[in-house]
Amino acid sequence: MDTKTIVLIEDNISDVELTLRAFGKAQLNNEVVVCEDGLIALDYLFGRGDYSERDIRQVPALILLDLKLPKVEGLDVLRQIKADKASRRIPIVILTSSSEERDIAECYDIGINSFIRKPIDFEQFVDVVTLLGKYWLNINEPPPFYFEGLLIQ
Amino acid sequence: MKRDSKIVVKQFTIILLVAFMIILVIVVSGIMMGMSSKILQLKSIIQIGLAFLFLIIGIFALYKLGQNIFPHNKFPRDWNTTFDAVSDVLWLLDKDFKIIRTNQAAEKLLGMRAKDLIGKHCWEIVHQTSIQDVECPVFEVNRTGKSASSEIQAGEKWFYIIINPIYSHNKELMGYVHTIRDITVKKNIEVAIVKIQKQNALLADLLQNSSQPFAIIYRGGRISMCNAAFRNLLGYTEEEFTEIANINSITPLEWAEYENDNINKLLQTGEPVRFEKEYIRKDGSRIPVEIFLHMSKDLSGELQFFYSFATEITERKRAERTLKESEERFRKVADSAYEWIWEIDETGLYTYCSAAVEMILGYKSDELVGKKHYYDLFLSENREDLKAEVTKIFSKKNAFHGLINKNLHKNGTIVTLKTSGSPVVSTTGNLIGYIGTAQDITLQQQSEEDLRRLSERLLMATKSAKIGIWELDYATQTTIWDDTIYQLFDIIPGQEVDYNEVWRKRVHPKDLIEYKKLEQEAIVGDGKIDSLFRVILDNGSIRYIKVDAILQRDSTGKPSGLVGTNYDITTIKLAEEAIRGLNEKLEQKVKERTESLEKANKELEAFSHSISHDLRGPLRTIDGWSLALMEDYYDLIDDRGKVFLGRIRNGAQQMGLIMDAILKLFRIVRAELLISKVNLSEISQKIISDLKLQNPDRKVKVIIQPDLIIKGDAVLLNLVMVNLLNNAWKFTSTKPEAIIEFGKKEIDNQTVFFVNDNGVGFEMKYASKLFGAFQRMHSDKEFSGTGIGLATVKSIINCHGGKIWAETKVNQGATFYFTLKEI
Repeated sequence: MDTKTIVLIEDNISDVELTLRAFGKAQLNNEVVVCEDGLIALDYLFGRGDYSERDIRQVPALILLDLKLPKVEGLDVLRQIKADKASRRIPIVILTSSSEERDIAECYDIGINSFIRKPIDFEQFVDVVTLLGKYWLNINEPPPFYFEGLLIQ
Repeated sequence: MKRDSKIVVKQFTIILLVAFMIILVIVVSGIMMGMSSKILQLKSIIQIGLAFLFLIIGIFALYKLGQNIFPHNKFPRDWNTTFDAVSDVLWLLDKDFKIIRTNQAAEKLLGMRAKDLIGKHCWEIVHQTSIQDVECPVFEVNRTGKSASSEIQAGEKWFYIIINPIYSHNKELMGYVHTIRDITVKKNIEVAIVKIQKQNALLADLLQNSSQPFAIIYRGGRISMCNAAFRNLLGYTEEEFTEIANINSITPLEWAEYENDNINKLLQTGEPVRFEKEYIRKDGSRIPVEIFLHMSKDLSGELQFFYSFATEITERKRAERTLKESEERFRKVADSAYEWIWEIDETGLYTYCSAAVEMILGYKSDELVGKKHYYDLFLSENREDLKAEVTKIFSKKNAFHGLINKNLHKNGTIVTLKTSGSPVVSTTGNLIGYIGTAQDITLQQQSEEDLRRLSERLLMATKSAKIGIWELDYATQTTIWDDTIYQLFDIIPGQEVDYNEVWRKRVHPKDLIEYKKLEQEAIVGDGKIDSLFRVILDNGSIRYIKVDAILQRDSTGKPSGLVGTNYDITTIKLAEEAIRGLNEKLEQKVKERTESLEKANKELEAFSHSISHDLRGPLRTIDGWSLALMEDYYDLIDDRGKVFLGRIRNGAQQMGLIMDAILKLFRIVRAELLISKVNLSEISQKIISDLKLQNPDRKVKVIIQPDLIIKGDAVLLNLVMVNLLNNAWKFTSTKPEAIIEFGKKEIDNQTVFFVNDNGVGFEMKYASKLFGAFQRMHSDKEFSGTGIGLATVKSIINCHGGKIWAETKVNQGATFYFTLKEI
């Protein structure tokens, strides 16, 4: 199993499972942490609440974020990730149903790395996920992360 | 001469007597001689005796006669003559000063004959005293024994008396020669001379001390003498002036010639000349003087000197200059005045016309002055009447004002003048002429007439329009109302009203306060009031009155009152209020509608958001899990089941496409247009190229008219062309020889674009449904589509202010027409 963790922030169980299924089809064997709402996502990332025991030096390699989330809205999650020094460099790909211009623009303004609208046709979705995984986990050079002055690998 | 003639007569008489006696002697001698022959002895003695007798008688006669002529027969005759010829009185006096002989002059001088004089003492005659006068030189002669003289006044006469003693050979006093010379003339002359000398001295003194500058000047200019006043006039002391003392050095060069002319005139006529000139004072300044120059001639008539009285005329000059200036000013004023200022003499002949006359009557001033009479320009038809009227005024020497008279302009037009004049009267009360002004009132009269008509019309207009006119005078707090105003305030016209009270009583209190505020604003502001107020009538009804007023100011700019109009606008006001009510209702409705529309829009937006978000998820679930079922349970599902699953997925995907199309349509509706130049021909070429690339097997003939350029939103118009051309492409897919054409044509003077194809077409009865959303003419089986495309096209065309329509027949192709508003 690849050590690079993917955080999937998505509340719809069907979509989560379809996404995981797509990952499987795309032969992405990385650990996928699924957060079902924005709060859980933030707790996980910042090592709070249920995840207070988590070693936050384990920085995820990629965050897949849906915009429509319970508790904390996707855009707020995005803002908080980007506001934090440690998490701001994590590549974030918006994976959502929406293609509202307004949303896309705002996301880019905050500083996302990619915006993907989930296709309805599942075969197409698998294609997208395959490309996505390959690109961000294999092709793309990940950013360096420091914790208390130390570079984390 | 008289005296001489007398002497001659007397001498002639003596000569005759002597001649007679001689003849007589000769005759007597002759007779005696004749008788001598007879009685010679005796007779001759008698005869001789007789002759002597006669001779003696003759001599005596002669003596007697001679005594009359030569009183003292002691003097020889020629001495006697001389004696008598002396003009002085000559007396021979004896030793006792008694006159023994006198000459003719005595009679003449003293009026006394010799017989009255002889034997009298000289003083009895001269002094007319019986004793010797103290002044008499007799005393001195007696005392000294020598001649003595004295001057004696006797009455008005003066005598010079000389008494010379006469001595004989042996120095014995024989008598005296007493001479009396009449020296009255000499004496008088002497007195006169003294008097003259005194007078001269006085005159000289007067001249010297007189304040009248005076100088005696020789020919050539040297000043022989001048008085202090003259020197003072020139600012010199006596010493200083002695060095100059020449008229030429105190006369400015430019005056020299003029002065010479005057001197020549004096020399030619001998009459004193008076002229003005200037002198140069010591300090170099000029002093204007009037010279009164005389000449003094000697007895031969030769010029001795000039004497000159110089009078300073600075003041006079100044006065003259002031007068001249003031006259010039007057002329200037007169000439610059719009009014014609004129002067005529007593005959009515113009003596002065100001320049304005040319403007008014077309004549130049010098065309009238001295040439025309005041009546020459009167219009001929009433000239005599006017002339008579004016003559009457002139005869009374009256002033006249505002005499209206029509005159003929030089160019033939009629000019109405308003003339006023005052008589000019000499000091003796005689009329010298008239001076006055004439004003061109032709236009004024015209305007007055116009104004009268205008005011009549205005009156009619205001009456018929029921516009009331009023005036308010601040000083008196009185108003002038016309009838309409009374009616507006519901007061019987003509009644005397207290304006303030009427206002208080009739005008709505709120409006009254507002109006007073506006009035104050007008006073400090633009002087205008434009407002309205409510008049409350007795029956309680309200009348709306529009007021327009203009502030009046007096000559000092102080507000003096108001002039304004009132107009009943109750009807208008009520109508306005009704309209306002309606408008308010309408606005409320619009607002409500807008709000609901906005709400609907928002809902629509939410709906579109919802479609894109919430509906896609389930579709993906349907599609995704259908596929998962198919994959994971492939063996368990029979072929029929697999077909069903395929249809489920197909439906889900189709629905996704429809939702995308709907979203696109919504976006177009909401979007703002970005206007630029769009080349529809190029866009079409590109679309066709893409289509050909996607369907390389298709054989389609495409005709695109080049350079169809319009203004519009490039993205949206691209969408239009994509939809239309895609449709054309799609619906010709069954045709082996497909033709697609894009172009422009004029229909009913309107530019219309069209996309034409020879495809399957459709039935025209469905044409109206063509552009509705989700309207499809064909089954999915025949031609796939969302049913949104043409709805989108219509939206875009509408957004561009255009129209879209279609013409078609089944199997005969379709033509889509659209217009675009020219932006």
